[in-house]
Amino acid sequence: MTNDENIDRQIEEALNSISEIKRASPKPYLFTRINTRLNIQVKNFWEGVAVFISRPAVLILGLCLILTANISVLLLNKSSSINSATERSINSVSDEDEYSTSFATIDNFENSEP
Amino acid sequence: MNQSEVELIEQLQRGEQEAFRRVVGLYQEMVYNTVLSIVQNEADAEDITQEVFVQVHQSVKLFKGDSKFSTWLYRITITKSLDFEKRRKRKKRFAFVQNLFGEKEEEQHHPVEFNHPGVLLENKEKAGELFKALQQIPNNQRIAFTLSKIEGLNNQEIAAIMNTSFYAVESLLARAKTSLKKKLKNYYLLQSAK
Repeated sequence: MTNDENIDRQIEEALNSISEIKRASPKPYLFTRINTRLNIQVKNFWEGVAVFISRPAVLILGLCLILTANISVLLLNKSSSINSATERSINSVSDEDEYSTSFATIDNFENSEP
Repeated sequence: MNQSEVELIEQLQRGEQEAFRRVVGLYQEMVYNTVLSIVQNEADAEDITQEVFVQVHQSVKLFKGDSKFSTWLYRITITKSLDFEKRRKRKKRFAFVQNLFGEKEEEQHHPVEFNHPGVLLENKEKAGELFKALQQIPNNQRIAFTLSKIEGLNNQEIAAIMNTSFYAVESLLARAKTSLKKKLKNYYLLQSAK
C-alpha cells in the first residue's frame, strides 16, 4: 500500500469514526443547578440595578435631568404668567373700547336731537 | 409540533415549574451533546447547557410556535456555543499579548485532543483527530456537519435550524467534508513525515 493510499484510508477511517456515536449525558442534577443559577441571576439583577444607579455617571445624569425638568417647569410657568398678563391687558383695553363706544353712541344720540 | 408538546410549551410560558423540569429532562441530552461537539470540553459544555436552559426559562414567552420547539432550542444552543468560542478565542489572544509583555500566562487552553464520551473505544483516536480538524473549518460548515453526523438530523431540519435552504445545507455538508479531508490530509502527511 502506497503512502497516499494509506493516508486516504486514514482519512476515511477518521470521517467514519463518529458514525456510531452515542449521545453524551450531562452530570446528574442538572435541573437543580439550573434553578440555582436562575435564583442567582434574579439576585444579581437587583444587585446590578443598585450598582448601575450608584455609578457617578448615572448619578450626574440623573441630577442633570432633575435640574432640566425644574428649569423647564420654571420657564413654562414664567411664559404662562406673561401670557396671562398680556391677556389681562388686552381685555382691559377692549373693555375701555366698549365703554368709549357706548359713550360715543350716547353722545351721538344726544347730538342727533334737533 | 404535537399536542402534548404544544401543551408543555404553553405551561412553560405560564411559568409552571413542573413544565420547566420536564423540558430540561426531555432536551438536556440534545443540548449538552450539541454544545459538547462544538466546544469540545465537558466542563464548558455543562456550563453552556445550564446557560441555554436559563435563556429558555427567560425567553420562552417570545417563542411563537412558528417552528418546532427543538429547532428554537437548537438555535439558542448553537448561538450560545459560538458566543462561548468567541470569548475563548478573545481570552487566548489576550493571554498571548500578556505573554508578549512578559506577564505570567496562566494555562487556560482546553486540552488539544478531545475525547467525546459517546465514541466507541476503538474509534477514540480517529475521532479525536476528526474533532481537531472540525475546530479548523468555518463555523457554518462545522455546525452543518455536527448537526448531520453527530446529532443525526436530516437536511430539512438543519435548514430550519440554520435558517437557510435545503440546497445550501447540502452544499455546506459537501464543503465541510472537503475541508475536513484537506485538514486531515495535512495532519496525516505531517505524522508520516515524523
